[in-house]
Amino acid sequence: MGSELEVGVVSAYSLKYELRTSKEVWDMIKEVTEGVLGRVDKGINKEEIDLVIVSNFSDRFGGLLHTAPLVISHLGLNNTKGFRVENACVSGGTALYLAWNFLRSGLARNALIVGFEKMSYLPSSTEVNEVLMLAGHPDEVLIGSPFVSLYALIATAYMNKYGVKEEDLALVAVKNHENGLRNPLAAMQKKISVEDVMKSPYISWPLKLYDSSLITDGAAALILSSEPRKYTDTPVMVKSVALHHDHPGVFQREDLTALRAVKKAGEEAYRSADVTLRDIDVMEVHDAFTIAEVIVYEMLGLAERGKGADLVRNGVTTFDGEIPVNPSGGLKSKGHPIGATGVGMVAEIYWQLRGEAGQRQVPDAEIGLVENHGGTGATSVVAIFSR
Amino acid sequence: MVWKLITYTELYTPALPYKSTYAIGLVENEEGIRRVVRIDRKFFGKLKIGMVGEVIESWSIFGNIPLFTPSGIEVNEKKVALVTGGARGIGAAISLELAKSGYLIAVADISRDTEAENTIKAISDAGSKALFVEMDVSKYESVEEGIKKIVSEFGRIDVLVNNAGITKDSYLQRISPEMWDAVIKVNLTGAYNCSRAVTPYMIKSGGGVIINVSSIVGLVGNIGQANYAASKSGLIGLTYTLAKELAPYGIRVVAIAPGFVKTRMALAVPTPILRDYLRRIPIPRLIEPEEVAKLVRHIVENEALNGIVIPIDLGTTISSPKA
Repeated sequence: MGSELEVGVVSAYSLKYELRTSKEVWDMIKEVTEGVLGRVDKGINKEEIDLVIVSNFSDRFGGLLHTAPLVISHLGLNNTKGFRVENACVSGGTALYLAWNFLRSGLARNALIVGFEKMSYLPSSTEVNEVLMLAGHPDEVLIGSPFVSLYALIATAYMNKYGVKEEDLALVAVKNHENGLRNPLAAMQKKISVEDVMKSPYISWPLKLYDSSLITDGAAALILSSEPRKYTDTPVMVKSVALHHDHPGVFQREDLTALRAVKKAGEEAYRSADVTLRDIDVMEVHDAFTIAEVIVYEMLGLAERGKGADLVRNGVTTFDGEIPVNPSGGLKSKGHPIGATGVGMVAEIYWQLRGEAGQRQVPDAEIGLVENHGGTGATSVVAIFSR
Repeated sequence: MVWKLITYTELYTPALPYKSTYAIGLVENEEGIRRVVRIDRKFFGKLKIGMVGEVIESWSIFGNIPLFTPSGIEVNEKKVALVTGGARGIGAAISLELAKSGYLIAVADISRDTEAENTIKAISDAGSKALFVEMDVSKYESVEEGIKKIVSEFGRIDVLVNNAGITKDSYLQRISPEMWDAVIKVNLTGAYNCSRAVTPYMIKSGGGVIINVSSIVGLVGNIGQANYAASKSGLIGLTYTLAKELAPYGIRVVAIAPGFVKTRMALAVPTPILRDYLRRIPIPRLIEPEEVAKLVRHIVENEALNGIVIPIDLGTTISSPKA
């Protein structure tokens, strides 16, 4: 391991996520590309970017494919290599994983990651869900199981096993919406109560509208470097990025209430970064549905099995709690433009660790964690960052 | 082989490509093999972890879908029909016809008069049960209250017949704004009110049928009935739209367009006009309310009918010149 290079994030940029943007997808890509290049403290010559990774779930969400050469050509680069990654909702996390490995092994020096998704490209949420559903197991796709229903299968099993109530899950939505109020990038800045969640219509019992993350348009970008101090005196160092898998189908899993990929990725990320949970000051985790955040707490060691929701009730993970989770508002309030999601999570931690998070700044945050997963947890990326 | 339900969800948001709602479950057999299965929406509200049942392969163009049917669940509870304007005329005939085919009947009407009593008695004589609901369909609160009462009494609503209607006939210049509004509010807004209030219950119980009683006048127009014709044409647009919107929830929406039916409403038309009308149609008689009721029953039973207007008119729409 000793010969591996240290990698740092040296710039981040994000559009405000929107429920229905008026921007064309190519304009979104250009805006974040130029935005992230323009925000390097000491400046960067774009010719120094030798790797471009584009994170995008589906061409149905924007009508573009083969976008890496578009970005490279737009920047006028001659020798830069690039490609698109797709790993469902963890496409952004996977882009990070790949960029980190390219840089630390010396295969590239400076990587530009661009994540985007324009989900309003399709006219209805039903059509959006049909596309998203394809990230499940073929047996799940065949019977017609949109993601909310798969998470609902997990939620039903979880609630039955641990005696947890719908009201307990609602607390996660309330917390993340409260956080989103402080984030100008959030798509839905709206304070909600447990009653609002409980009154919202069932989408797939026991999960309701307000248990679900938002179908969103958005784009975000990062620059990672293996010579971070050349570009800024305050890089955010990538301590570890771990990627693990679980069975894609919920029915294939021995324990229906666990997200094994998250657990494995979390354990490896802590170990490789040589930190423990106690060292983490702030987290951005994948709250695609309220039940997901609750189980992620348990997989990352914040809570015992079945006790995840108690963390919100007891204020442990709220904004002023011991370990704030999703100060950005999370997928629930900030939004979930699939390809941009993981990239945006890293951007949030970058700003938090540099003290640039404005009203939502977690005081003295030094070490941060990102957990981004895809499908119902068939792939999870956990990354740890430090000042 | 016996399969046990280990977790499930009721999907209330229709999923493509199936445009349908259903429950989804995970089942396990004695050898510990697990499958993800679909469960018919008629089991909404009745599923529990630990239930056992069988899995059959159900053909679909997308592939064979494993369908789990839990054993020992009673889903044959009595179905319920709500007929607005159900106390008299076509509405009474529909109430009785559906009662004969086993439906519990909620008779909604503006007041409980002798005609209403007769209809209620006829329903119970036919071996069913009637609940009278005093309802002004033009007022949403009244509709909502009435529907709550029906659901608390009968537990569900499977069929809604938007039949309540009035006429206030005159030539355009003599139709006052009040006459216009009154007809639109009962005939068209009434159907909107009832459809809106009833659909959440239908979705919850896995589907239903909405039948809008339009009129031939809504298709071809009629001198002296601008307000009535507009309201009945409006019902057709409502039918087409709701048929698209609600199909994924298992709710079918169909309109019928009767010609002149032998009811007090038709007989109020001046005799010379009625005689002239009958001379121009292929079968020169009035339609019996029971004939309309039979069509309604057929629509309820035939699950392939959706989003159409069915004229029942003795050939009015093919007569020339148009009636």
